[in-house]
Amino acid sequence: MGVDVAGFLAQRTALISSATPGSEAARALSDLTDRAVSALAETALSPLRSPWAVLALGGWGAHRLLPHSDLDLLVVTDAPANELRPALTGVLYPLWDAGLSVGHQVRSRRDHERAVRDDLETLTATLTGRVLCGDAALGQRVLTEAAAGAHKRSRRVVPALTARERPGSPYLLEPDLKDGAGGRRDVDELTWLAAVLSGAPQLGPAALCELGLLDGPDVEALGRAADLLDAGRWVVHRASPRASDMLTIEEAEESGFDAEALQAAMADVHHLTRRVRGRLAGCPTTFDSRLGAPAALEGVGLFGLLDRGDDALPSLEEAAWAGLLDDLAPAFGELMHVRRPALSHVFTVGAHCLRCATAIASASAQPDMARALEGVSDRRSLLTAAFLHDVGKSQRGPGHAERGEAAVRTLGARFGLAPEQLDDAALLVREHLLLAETAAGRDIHDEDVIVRTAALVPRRDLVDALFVLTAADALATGPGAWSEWHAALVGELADRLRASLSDSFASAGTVGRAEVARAAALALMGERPSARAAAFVLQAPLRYLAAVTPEDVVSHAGLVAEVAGSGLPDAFEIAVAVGPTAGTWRVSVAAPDRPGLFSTLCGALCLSGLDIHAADAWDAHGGVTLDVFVVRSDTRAAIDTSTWASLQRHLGAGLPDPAGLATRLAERRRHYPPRSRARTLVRVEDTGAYATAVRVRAADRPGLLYDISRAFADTGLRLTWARAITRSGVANDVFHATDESGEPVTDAGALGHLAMRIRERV
Amino acid sequence: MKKIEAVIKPHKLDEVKEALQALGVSGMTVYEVKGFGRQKGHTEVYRGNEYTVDFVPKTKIEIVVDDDLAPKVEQAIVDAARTDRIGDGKVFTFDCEGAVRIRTGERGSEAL
Repeated sequence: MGVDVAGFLAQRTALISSATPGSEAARALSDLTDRAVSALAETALSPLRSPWAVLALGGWGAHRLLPHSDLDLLVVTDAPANELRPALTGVLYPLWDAGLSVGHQVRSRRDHERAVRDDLETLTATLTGRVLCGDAALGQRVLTEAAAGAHKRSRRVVPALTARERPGSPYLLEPDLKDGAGGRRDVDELTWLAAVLSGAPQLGPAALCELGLLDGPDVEALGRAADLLDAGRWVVHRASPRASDMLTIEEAEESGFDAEALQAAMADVHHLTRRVRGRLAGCPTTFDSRLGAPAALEGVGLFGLLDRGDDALPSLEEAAWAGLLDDLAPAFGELMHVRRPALSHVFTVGAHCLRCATAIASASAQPDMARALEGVSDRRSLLTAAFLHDVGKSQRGPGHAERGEAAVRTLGARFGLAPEQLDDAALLVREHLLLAETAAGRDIHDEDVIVRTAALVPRRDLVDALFVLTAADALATGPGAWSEWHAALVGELADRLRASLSDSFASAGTVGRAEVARAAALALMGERPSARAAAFVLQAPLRYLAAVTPEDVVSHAGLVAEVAGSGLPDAFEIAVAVGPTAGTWRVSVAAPDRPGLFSTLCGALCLSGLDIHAADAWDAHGGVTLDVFVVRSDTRAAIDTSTWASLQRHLGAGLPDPAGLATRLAERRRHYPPRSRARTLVRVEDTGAYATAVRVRAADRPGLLYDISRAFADTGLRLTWARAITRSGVANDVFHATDESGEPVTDAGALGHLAMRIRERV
Repeated sequence: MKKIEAVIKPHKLDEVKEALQALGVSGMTVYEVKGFGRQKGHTEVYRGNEYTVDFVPKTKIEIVVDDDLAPKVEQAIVDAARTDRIGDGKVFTFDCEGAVRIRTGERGSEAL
């Protein structure tokens, strides 16, 4: 009688496409395949004169056949080869022709007994085998002998079974549902152990309860997990044209499969497998209940584990799985299964948080991280922030960093943090994306970007902590999320932030003061300011706005708009106002930018009989420069309208003819010798985010600032700010300088050349 | 066909991408690279330790387009990537001898 293979294949295709994924579907496919293969075998093998039995092995034997599973077939018989060959052709060829993947073994009972002794894979396949057709007693004897033999050799077999590699993690967003940690093979291993230790074939790990290796609830959890693993694998097999057991993020989303339940199931399988392995080896896992009821972790215990770095991950994951971290962070155990696949994340949220926190202890492997870690003043607030940085992802939607900050404020005391530590940890969580997002999405050479970022991270040690957290977060995200390229990009931003927060370039409160001044200036300008003046206010740098009053801003906007509107290369506008201290005046000058402009202005002020006490130079708007000087009379003569008229005259002559101005200054110097014999000192004080600070100490004399600023211009450097203070005839001036591209000057040669030119001129 | 390579500041990638999409450029290859031009590596002093940052992180894009589109693509990249600061990058254009779409076997402009 012919076997309807085509009918079998049609039923199989219909079942695979229509069945609800899960153990029932796997059993139905097994049963369908049983019937077809049995019919083929009985037809083809019945002429054999020796007894025979056909057995289904491996997953098929355990009634868990999936769409892409191999049909692992064992034919047991003593029949001679010449008789067997044509008979087997009748079983295997129709299956091969149908495109099924069939693995077959043909052996005598004795040969198979030897095979299971010599080959672990043959043993494990047989331990979950069952008889399909033929001589049932013969087939059952093969199965029983395999389990009994392995039981006798259990001292050798058990270590071999438990030495199996378990790659990956149950917390991977794209887990290997078969061979990965927490996958099907882990359940199989427990089933094989149950068979070997009990000496009888087993369909599941329940026998481990009687052996004291698992508890009843454990076995129930493993049963549920096995069902979910079958369901997940069925989804993957059905969607993929090739045999694969990797549940991709896309497949999980498109199939609507409850992937978080699957992650929880894999965690159960993973930790129970570790636990059984530990108990068998006499090395229980850290939080094994056999060691006594494990206590929930407190802050100190958690910090101790986190400080062990990656080595502590298995213990931390076990603690989270057992709910021992829930006292510190409620529902952290559930967070271990929460999936938020985005931005290269490869782990569930909880597993990512643990990896981020342990990465800090492993920072020595990353030079940038290690260097930043030296600047961290409080490690506990950093570790707490790393541990909690993504807890806000327990809810979907944007704003997880802000939700995380709120969680830190609620939970921080449980970690033993003092209020100021709690504030730091909350800030780190709120801003944990700041450096990465700013470095990748903003121009970090823009001074305002640095000032605004520095306002959010107001201390250098917090910049260090945030850099470490950024790096640890990226390292815990997945491979490629933190490369040398990212380290360099984020590192440069962190360096600029540190520099901007140094004592020489204080920027605390800059953003707030600047924005208040900008808004007040716009209000003062009324409803219809000129377009140029309004543009000046809207685009003015934060440091400028923070340093002046709103009235100054409006005045400066008028000056700049006037000069820009004239279009003349030697145009200039001056505004004067009473200065900050008695006898001083504030002089604001707008003029088209050009090399040496600052020194020309200094020279004109000197020729007008004015001593410069302080100066600020700003890139204003549309190629116009704005310089603000605080001056006083360099003699006992009063400053009056004739002084400002003189300044207008000298500037009008000096801007188109700097050489003439230099000649007049040299003449003036002859009449006013130096007021002391102090030695000239030139020192580079600091390199900040926006400029390099250079201090010059020299005997004061008329035109000194002109000469020093000429030295800067001669060496191709631009002055962005200057403060000139003179006491007892000695000038003590600080200058902020940039190179021609507006970057701080770091080249030692250029700075040495500058020092030489200053000494020459002074 | 022309192959256009551009080295730009990393934060300008989105703007360049949008500018190219507006021109109808349908694909590009993006690399994270490091290098230096006029914007030399610099020396930082941090907590008394001096260390040199030799190379500056940049983003490199590669595009192949028809000859007549190449000048517009060049200009679009220049306009979108410009900050007027040193280190804005460069655009290089090369002749491209051929292209094949592997899936369909289409060749030349059809493969772009």
